[in-house]
Amino acid sequence: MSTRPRKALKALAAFLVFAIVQISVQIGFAEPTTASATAALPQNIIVARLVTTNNQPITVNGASAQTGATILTGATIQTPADTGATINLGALGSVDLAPNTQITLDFDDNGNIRVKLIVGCVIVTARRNGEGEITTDQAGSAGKTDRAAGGVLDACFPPGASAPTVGQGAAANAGAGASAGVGAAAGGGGGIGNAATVFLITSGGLMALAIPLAVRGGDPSPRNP
Amino acid sequence: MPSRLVHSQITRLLITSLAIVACVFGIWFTGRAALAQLLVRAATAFRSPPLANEAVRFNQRDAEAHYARAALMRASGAAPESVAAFEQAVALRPRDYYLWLELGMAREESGDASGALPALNNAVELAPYYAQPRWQRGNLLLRLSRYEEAFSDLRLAANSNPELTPSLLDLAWGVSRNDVALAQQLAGATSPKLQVALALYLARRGHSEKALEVFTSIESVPDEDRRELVKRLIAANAFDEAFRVSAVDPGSAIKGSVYDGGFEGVLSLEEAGFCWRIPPAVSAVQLSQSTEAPHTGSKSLQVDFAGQSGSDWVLLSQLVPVEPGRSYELHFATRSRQLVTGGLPFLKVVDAANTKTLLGSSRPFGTTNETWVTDKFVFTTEPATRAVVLSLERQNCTTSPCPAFGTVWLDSLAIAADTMR
Repeated sequence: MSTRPRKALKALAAFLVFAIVQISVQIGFAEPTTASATAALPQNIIVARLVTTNNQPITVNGASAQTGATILTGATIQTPADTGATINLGALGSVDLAPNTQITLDFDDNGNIRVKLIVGCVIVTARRNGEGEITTDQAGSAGKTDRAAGGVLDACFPPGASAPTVGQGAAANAGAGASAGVGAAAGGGGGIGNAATVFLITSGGLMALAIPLAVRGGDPSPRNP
Repeated sequence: MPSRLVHSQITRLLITSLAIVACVFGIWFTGRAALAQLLVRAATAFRSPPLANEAVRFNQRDAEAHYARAALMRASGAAPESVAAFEQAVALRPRDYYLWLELGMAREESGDASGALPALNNAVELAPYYAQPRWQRGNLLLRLSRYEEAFSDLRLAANSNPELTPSLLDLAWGVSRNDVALAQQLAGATSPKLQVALALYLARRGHSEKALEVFTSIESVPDEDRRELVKRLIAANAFDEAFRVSAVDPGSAIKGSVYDGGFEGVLSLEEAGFCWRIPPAVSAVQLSQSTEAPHTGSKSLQVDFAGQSGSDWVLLSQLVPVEPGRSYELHFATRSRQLVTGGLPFLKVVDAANTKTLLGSSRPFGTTNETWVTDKFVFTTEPATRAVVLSLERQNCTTSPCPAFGTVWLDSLAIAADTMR
C-alpha cells in the first residue's frame, strides 16, 4: 500500500475516533439527571403508617386517606363517626384515634410523640427512650409517658369540656384504634353468634336457589381500583 | 342369548351406578362449594371470623374463603396471622392483583416491609393502570425512604385517580419541607391544573405567600380557580395575597380604594373577593341600582326599607385592602325620601381579620328631602390591619321591634388618594 492511502486511512480512523468520543460525550450530557432532586431531598424522614377501621376513609390535612397512607409530622387527623384509626409510628410507638376525633400529631427522631387533642378520644403508646404527650389548647399538657419506661396515655376531650379525662380508659371504651370493635358481631369465642346462626338457617332453606348463584364466584376487588 | 342379556344388564347397572356415584360426588362438591360461598358472604356481612374459618373448612380450594378469613383477621388487628391466609388466597388465584395488594399491605402491617414490596410489585404488574396498587406501593417506598421511586408511583396513581391529588400534594409538601420548587417537582405539578391545585392546597394550609408564589408562576388561570383561591386566602386572613390574586393585572391593584364606589357595575350576590357583597336575603329591605338622578356617573345604589328588618344586619359590604397603621378619609354621598325609623342607616369600617374592632363610622343618614348630601369620616387602621370591611348597616334601636320605612340612595364612595395622611 502506498503512503498516501495509508495516511488517508489514518486520518479517517482519527476522525471516526473523534466522532465516537463526541457522540459519547453528547449522550452522557443528554442522560436524564436526577441528582439535583436527590440532593435536595431530605435523607431520612420519620414517617408513620395509617390503618383505619375496615379501610374506611378519614381526613388527613383536609384530604381523604385510607389504610396504607403515609402520615408526616404536623398532620391534622380527623376521624368521622363509626371509624377509628391507628397511626403506626414504628419504633416510636402508635396513636389510636376513636371515631369523631380530631388531633394534630407531631413526632421526631428523638422518639417524641406529641398529640394535640382538639376533640374526641386518643390513646398514645410510646416505646422506651421515647416520650408521648397529650395536650389540649384549653388545659395544656394532659399527661406524659416516662421516657425510660415508655407507657400508654388514654385521654378523652368531649366537645365543650374544659379539660380532658385522662387515664380512666375512656378512649379505649370509646373505640380508639383501627381494630377496636371489629369482629364484635362474631358472637364471641369460637361460636358463630346468634345473628349468624339465624342467617344460616334462613339461607339454608334457600340453598337450592342459592347454589347456581353462589358457585359463580365473586370478585373481592374494590369498585374503584 | 341369556348370558348376553345378563352381560348387558350388568353393563347398564355398572354405568348407572357410576353415573349415580358421579352425581353424588358432584352434588357433594358443588354443595360444599356453594355452602362455602354462602359462609363467605355471611362471614363478610357479620364480620365473623368463625364463619370464615368454616368457609375455608368446606372448600379449601376457594380463594375467596381464604381471602375473607384473612381480611377479617387483619381487620381485627391480627395482621401477622392474616399473612398466611392471604398467601393461600394468592396461591389459589395468582392473577388477581387485589389479593397481591392485600397481601402486601398485610405484610407491611405485620412488620415485613421487605416482603410487602414484592407483593405490591406483583399487584402493580397485574394492574399497571389501576391507582390503588401504585398508590400503596408509592406509600411503602416513601416509608422506605426511596423518594423518587415513591413519587413516581404516587404521581401515576393520582393521574389515574384524581381524587388522590390532594394527598399527593400533601405528601410532596411534607417531604419537601416547605420547599415550593421541590414540592412541585415531586408532585409533578407542571400542568396549570396541578399548579392551581397546589396553590389552593397551600392557601388552605395557611401558606399564603407560597400559594401566591405558585399562583404567579401559572401562565393562565381560569376565573373559577382564581375566585376559589381568593376565597381561600381571604378565609386564611391573607388579604394582601388575596388582593394580588384577585387583580387580573396586579399592577393595577391599588390598596386603599373602594371598588366601584359609584355602583356602576353589576352587583353580585355570590361575590367573595374585593367587590360589593350583598347578602342573599334581608327581609323588608330591597337593594337595587337606580338611574334616577345619580350623584355621579349614571347610577347609584337605592335601598328601599319596607318594614321590620334587623338593625344589626349588614345590608351591603366590601372588603377593602389597606395599609396598616394609616388613617383614611372615606367620602360618600347620600339622599333619602320619607325615611322613618328608630335605627337610621350608616356606614361602618371594621378590621377584616377581627370584625369586632371598629375602626370608624359615619354619622347616621338623615332626611335630606331627596337632595344629595356629601359626608366623610376618618378611620385609622391598626398595626396588623391588612384589610377592612366597609359596610352599610342600621343603628341599633332603643326599642324592639325596629321597623324602617322609606328610601335611601348611596353614591360616590371613595377614599381619595390625596386625603391619606
